[in-house]
Amino acid sequence: MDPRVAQPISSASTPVPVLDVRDLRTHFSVGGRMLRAVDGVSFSVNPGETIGLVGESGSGKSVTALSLLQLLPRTTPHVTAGSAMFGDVDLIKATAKRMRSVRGRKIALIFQDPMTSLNPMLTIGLQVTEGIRWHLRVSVREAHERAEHLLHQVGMADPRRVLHAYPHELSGGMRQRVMIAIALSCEPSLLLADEPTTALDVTIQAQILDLLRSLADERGLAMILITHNLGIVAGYTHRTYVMYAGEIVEEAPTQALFSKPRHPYTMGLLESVPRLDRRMTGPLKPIKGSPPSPFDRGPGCPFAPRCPFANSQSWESRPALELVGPDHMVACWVKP
Amino acid sequence: MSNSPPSLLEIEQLKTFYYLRAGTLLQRKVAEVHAVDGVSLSVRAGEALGLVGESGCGKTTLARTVVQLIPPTAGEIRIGGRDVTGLNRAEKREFRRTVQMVFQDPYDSLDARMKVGDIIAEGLVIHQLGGRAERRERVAQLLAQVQLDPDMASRYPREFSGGQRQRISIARALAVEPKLIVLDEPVSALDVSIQAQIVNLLEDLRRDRDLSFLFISHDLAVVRQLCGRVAVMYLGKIMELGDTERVTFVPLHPYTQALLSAVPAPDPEVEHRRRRVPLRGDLPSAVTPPPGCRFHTRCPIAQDICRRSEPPLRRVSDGREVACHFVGEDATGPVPPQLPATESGTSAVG
Repeated sequence: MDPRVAQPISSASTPVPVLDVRDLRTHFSVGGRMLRAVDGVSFSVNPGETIGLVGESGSGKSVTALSLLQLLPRTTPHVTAGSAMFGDVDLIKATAKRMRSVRGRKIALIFQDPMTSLNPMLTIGLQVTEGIRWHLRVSVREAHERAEHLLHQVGMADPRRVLHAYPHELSGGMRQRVMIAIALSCEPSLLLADEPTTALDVTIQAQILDLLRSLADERGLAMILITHNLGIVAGYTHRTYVMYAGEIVEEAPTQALFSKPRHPYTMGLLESVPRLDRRMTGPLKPIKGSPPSPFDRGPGCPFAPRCPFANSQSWESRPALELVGPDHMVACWVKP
Repeated sequence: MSNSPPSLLEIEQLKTFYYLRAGTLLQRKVAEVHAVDGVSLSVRAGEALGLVGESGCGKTTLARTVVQLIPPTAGEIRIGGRDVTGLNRAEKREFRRTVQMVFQDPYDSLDARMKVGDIIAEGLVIHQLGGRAERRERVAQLLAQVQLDPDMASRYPREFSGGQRQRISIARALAVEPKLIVLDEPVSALDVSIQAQIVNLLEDLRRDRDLSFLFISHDLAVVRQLCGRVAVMYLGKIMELGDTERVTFVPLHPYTQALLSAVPAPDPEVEHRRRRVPLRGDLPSAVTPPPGCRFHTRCPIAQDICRRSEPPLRRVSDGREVACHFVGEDATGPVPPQLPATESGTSAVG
């Protein structure tokens, strides 16, 4: 077993998930038409586990994260249905007041671009201590001490200098470390990271992901890693959910997903991605066509138009997730 | 080698500096950014050369200098043996028939107010290549070649996806029948499943038309698919240049080794065995690049000599060029220290 990807903490009986999402749906009303961004998504995360939510643009993975934390823009009319149990709180139905006590405290977030998440007008120190003071109600001095300790834990060589700096004075990698420090500052039990390294260079990306991994292991933190990058999923997750057109089309322990993918979309992705780790065998094998519009989803499987295995049933009705192996589910009529 | 015809593109000791200015009226120069600081490379007819590096390495500046969007500060750029720096307007226009560019952002590089057909035909109009009827036919041909429907010519860019827009950009670049196309991260902004389509398209076009590519990317895996040779840049200079397979599988320069060890592979087994080469600290400033070897401040095997003297880009026995004091002429390189990923992840920064 990979020593880097520590085993999830589990008791003798089945662990209680930190987050249990059932049949999440988020539909937007745009110009009189219904945009089904998230269309029946279910997953769970156990303590100490990292799950990957992988998909391309339009898959609904980011809207899923935003829906869970009630962070969708209020100006866009939307309807959310389903449930997301976090302890005894249903995040979908919780009041705004309840969400404020959960967000940043029990559930932490890291987004893609730290430059837009950090306030350019405030020092790092103010931003790291803000959440600590709000949620933990400690003195300014204690908040500062905690902040300094956190910056040290995320690998900063000179935490005091960073506390006095402004975001623009730091590199992208350092800003993302600051975001991680802020995320961990109130000792959350769940971390939601949406493309945390996409804007970073590959050498920095590796450092940041390794850091997240080791911090999560140390603290028994549950993590949801949202990404389009299959390499990141392969190296950093225990379990992977593949999203397409607002649905989960395949889910499995990460090892099994990569060694025995069962959904044609997953198979297509793995065959089409250029690699450095294998012998080249001629041109890439792309998936034909492009992702479907989120507006007009026909009655059948959303992947049918691009699927080399689609049959008449694929066009007629949407397949549900079915068990095809240990903890391995796939939504496909054909199951090649 | 001395009797062979000149390469299609030859760059010699190219330097492109930006100036940071201060002051309101006088705008005096306060700093020089050494974006490209002495780069030499060549691209033969029909060849694809990849240029990889992380942010701040100068690859985009190099691309823009080659296509004459930015004037070079020093050095020479030769197309077919002829120096193309310092051309007048008419000569520059002629230059653009030979060298074209495809940009990274499919949403930014097409004029939203022009129809797709007009965008593609613009080069034909400028160079007066055929009348209206001929242009229409050529546009239809080009759209077919990039696997788009010919009746898309009368639509506007906003009606198309990222992948389709990149195909339009490629069609536009092909219209004037250039010999060299400079592509700056042409697939980075596209979804994975679309990237493969465009990569294959580029490979087919290059082969069918005997085109040359200068292919800029941060993604080594994509470069490997398309380019026979690759140059690795760091802070304005080339660290390693050679056959792509060799550089990818037996990297000699410590930076190349670090870069390759950081690329995640879509295979959990490979990831489990991965040993990261740790890099210290952050990218130094390009305004005051480090003395000696540019990479020494972050290099895991840096010694005193690295601080004192800059290693030249030198040819080694397998045909590669490497700029490192510790790479021997027999193409043996240093073995970098490798850490299991958990340790390297907590190395101090900043």
